[in-house]
Amino acid sequence: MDIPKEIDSKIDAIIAQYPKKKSAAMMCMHLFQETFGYFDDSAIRHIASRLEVEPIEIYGMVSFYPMFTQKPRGRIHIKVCRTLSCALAGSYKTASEISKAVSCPIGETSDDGIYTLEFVECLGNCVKGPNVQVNDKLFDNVTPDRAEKLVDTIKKMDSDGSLAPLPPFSKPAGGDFDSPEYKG
Amino acid sequence: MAATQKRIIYRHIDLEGWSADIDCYMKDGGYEVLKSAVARPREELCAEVEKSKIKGRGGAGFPMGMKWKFLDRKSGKPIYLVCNADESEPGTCKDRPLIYQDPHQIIEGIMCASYAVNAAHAFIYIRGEYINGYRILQNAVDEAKAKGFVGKNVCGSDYSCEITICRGGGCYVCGEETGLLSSLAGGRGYPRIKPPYFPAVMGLYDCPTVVNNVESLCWVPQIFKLGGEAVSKIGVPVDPGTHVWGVSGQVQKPGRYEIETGSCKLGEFLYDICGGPLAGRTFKAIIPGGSSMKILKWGEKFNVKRPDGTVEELRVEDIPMDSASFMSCGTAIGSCGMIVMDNTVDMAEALANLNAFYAHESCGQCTPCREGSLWISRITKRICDGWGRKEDIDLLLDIADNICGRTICAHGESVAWPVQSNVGKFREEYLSKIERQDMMGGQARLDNNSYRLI
Amino acid sequence: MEEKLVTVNIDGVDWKVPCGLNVIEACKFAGVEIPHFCYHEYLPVAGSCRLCLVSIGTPARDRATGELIKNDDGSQKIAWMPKPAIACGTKVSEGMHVVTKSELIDDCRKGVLEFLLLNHPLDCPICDKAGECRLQEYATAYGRGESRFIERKNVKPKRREIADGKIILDNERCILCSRCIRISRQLVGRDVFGFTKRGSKNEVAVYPDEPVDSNYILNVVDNCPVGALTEKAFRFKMRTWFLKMTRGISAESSAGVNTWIWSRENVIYRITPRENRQVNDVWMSDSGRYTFGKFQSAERLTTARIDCSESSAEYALTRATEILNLGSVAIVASGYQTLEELFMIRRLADDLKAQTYMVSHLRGSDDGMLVSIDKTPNLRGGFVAGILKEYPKADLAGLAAKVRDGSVKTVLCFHEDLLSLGFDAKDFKRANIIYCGSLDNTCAREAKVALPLPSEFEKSGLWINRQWRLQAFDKAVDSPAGVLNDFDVLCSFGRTASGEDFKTPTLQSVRRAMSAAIKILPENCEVPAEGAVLDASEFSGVDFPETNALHFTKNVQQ
Repeated sequence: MDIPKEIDSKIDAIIAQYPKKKSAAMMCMHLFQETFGYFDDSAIRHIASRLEVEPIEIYGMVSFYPMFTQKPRGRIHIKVCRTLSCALAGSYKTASEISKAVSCPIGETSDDGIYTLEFVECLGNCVKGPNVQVNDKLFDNVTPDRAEKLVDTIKKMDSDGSLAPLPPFSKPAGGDFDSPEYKG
Repeated sequence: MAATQKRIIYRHIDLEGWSADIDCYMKDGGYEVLKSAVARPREELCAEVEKSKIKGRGGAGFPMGMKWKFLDRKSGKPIYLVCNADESEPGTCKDRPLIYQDPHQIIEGIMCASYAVNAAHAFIYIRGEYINGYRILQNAVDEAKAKGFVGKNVCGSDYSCEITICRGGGCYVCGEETGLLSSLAGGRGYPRIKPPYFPAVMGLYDCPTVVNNVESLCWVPQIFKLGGEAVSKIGVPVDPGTHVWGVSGQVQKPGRYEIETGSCKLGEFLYDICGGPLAGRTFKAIIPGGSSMKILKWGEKFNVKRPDGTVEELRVEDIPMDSASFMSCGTAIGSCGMIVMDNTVDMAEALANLNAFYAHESCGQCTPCREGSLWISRITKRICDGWGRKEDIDLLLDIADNICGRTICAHGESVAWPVQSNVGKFREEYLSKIERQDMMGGQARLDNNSYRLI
Repeated sequence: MEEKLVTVNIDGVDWKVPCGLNVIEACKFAGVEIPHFCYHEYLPVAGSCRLCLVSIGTPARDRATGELIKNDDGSQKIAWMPKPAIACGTKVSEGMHVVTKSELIDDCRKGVLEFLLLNHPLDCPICDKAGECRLQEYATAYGRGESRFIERKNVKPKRREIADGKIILDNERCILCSRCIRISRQLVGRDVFGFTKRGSKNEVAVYPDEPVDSNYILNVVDNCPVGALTEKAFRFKMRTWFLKMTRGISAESSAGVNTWIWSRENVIYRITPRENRQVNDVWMSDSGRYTFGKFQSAERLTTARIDCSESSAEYALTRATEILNLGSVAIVASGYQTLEELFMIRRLADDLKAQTYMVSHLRGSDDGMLVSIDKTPNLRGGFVAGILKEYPKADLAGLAAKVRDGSVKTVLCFHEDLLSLGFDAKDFKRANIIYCGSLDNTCAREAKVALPLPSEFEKSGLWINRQWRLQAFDKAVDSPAGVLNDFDVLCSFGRTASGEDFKTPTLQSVRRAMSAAIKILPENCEVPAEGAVLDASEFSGVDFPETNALHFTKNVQQ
């Protein structure tokens, strides 16, 4: 991948916040994940050289933390919480409903490359399960019967551009996301 | 007496007209505690925290004052303070509203604590999934810095301390304090062995470090404001203060409820506050404090030893809502993430769901947890798929025993406790499930009435 | 410095052990084995394999007063830790109690070994590590003996060539002990290896296409407790249980690395490091592992020659002796020779009134570890034997000049190749060159007489390393047919020279004579396992080129 020059000034800004360079690894990796969508050899080597560590260390972290990927994901990344609280509220059914609605098998990226649908572990909003995170936006109470409605909402938001994740270092988007259309 | 909420930490949450910005917080008297704290001697502040007897709210329930006391202040190395906002325990979501709606309360808590322990730098390690939470916190830190509450010369004093926010990458083990520090130092989130890596002595960059949970740090301004003595009188003496319970699963009104410790019993809590079971259903089991705590069976009775030596029979619905009472019933309140299950739930499915979580989240560093968590998960998945064997029940318990207490960090217990308690208390259910499978094989799953959790 | 001792009760018996030891080492001290994988004496503690769990208790104290609490019978009450603790990560303290044999500890070990074997292929019959695999040994000694695992095993990559092609990595056999990661951090100075992925999918890996470029990476193979890391050069060459181990000293440089030489039926298959905590700990260079190759190749000199044509060894020896008796002899000794040989050469030189020479072999630079700039193992032996008074030159230009001016008529040269040291082809006509050595070089081919001698693997002897440490090594293999014995050759020369008629001395008698003649040597040249450091103060004026390295500080007597 082509790593633009601006990235380096952002990395510098991250490094400046930590007493030790290596500590900036997590935030630098988020910066790359959000900017490029995945990690390849050049990304790993770039971070490693900027943080003065071995590439294997960065690679070890990329493969350790599930939020970092080595393959590009779809434009719309749907993460359905599968852990107990959400599962009790029906998240397995929700996931298969979403899967049908966007024709994308769970754990894969759709053929057109638009959707990636995944089960993830606890999203930390257990009292309002099932929770579904789409890109950087969280939708709660997505019970199986509301799955179709969620898909409609994300499609609408995708077309008007409001589903796109905010760029790195953005100002907050006002609390948890609750789309009025979605709330119905 | 009907159970009621008492909002101290959650006083601003879901409040009409409340917003996360600093002006809103300051209008409510925000940062006043910090202003007065930086003029007080540090020893006095630490003594107040110790007097309050407040226990850490992250799950282990270790007294906060004690944690601060263990801090190695003579090493000559800088002291770091880390706010653990890596809330990843299934069922636990109490910190989320604080981060999203009341970030300045956390920041004031961090700065009060940093001043009291004389931290050179403070960090917030927030779980990666709380992406907007990170943005909100970062914005709040910037606001606080502009007002002089964070950074150089805090509130005009000669104390300076920056706050850096680091995002996690989706790793449960990074909520364990030494795992968190490994991740924050820039590495895989591997917990470290104790000894020698007690954070209070050998924490971040091998320097003395305090790691406190978000909710715990929110208590610090309260303690400084009200005094340790007064805080210790809230709730029951053994576990003072309030707890924010996050109730999820099959109740009428799941949600987050802050109640004074010991102010009601589990049954009152579930019926009065949470609205009782769903229509036409009955409670079956409750995981009291985040999914790793031992499960309680509805209808269970405990023989609890009272301080005077007598033994009292306690029904599960009569357990008072404080840490010591749950402890005496063989479980713990952990991080107060209560998961309620009713009679429609197949316990094997519920356990398999959790086991899959723990197998996925094992960091893989030490043998028993790495191999055992996956093994357990595969066995319970197989039972759910309809291919259980009778010997699997004892095998599960034996594997859990082989993990429990033999790992580097508490993830071993997190893997073992649900298995031990769930299989132990619902053994008959497992047995009859497997007997049915013996006759029907994989077909058994297809005509199982309860819905799938794995 | 006196070591402080503490009393530790191990399985009911009190032992006095040095303070600061961890429980594994303390138990080793007491003769109790605690199985372990990730713990390594020379590496930082990882504490991750969990096999070394033991029960540990300390004397109970009253919390308020700090006073010791007694049992009813007056004995000290022991406060046992609620959970078993890792022996590797626990330091001994006064009054500590350790239980290594109990139902609980047996259960812990069985549990850990069962866990490790879950996803480990049971392919010992085709695994090259079999026979020296810790997992195999421990599973037999402490394991359950049967598996309760009926699920599918994880599949991980196999046969990956890593570390510049020197090592084969089989991830499925890896038990994730992290020794390789810690070794590379310590010896290579950077993270060559690292963990990737998570949980039971964890793998040890190197970064793809990242050159390792280290002369110490093979140490990870020696210290891999299982068959995950195997040396490509040795892989499938020979089952280890067929191999005989002989203690050797690496001839690679003056570092004097202690080695094991692994041989079968007079063929050497590999060299691995041997522990010496004063010299090389448990490490050695990669390059030092292949020094035997040249002696098992066509380079080897196995037949004697006279005037460039083959001859019987006896006749060549006689011929050489005759030439030496003509006088005007110079002897070129070698830093590859043993102290015993150098001592005998010194005597021979005295008898023959011969001048003695040695050359320095300085190549490359000190790596700060276990390969020094001096590529001979026993240059200091030349000083001790009295052959050298000052640091030798890199060539023999001075001797060549004497050959050319006719003052030297015969050169007896051991192992060195004169033609690369300032001699030219004409010098071989001007003087009689007698070459004695184990390798067939141009000097051997041009010499008047060439005598084949054993290599360092084919004899026992003493070498003195850069620390002035006298170290002994043993004969690992027999010489090929036709090769003479060093002592025979030297005595043959010396007998005639001195006019005495004595038999070839034994190694012991040479050592006795040597220690009688050279006062800094220990009695009968008996050296302990870690070698004996000699008092080298009489050579303090000599400037040796070695610089600071592992266990070596320049100009400081160790």
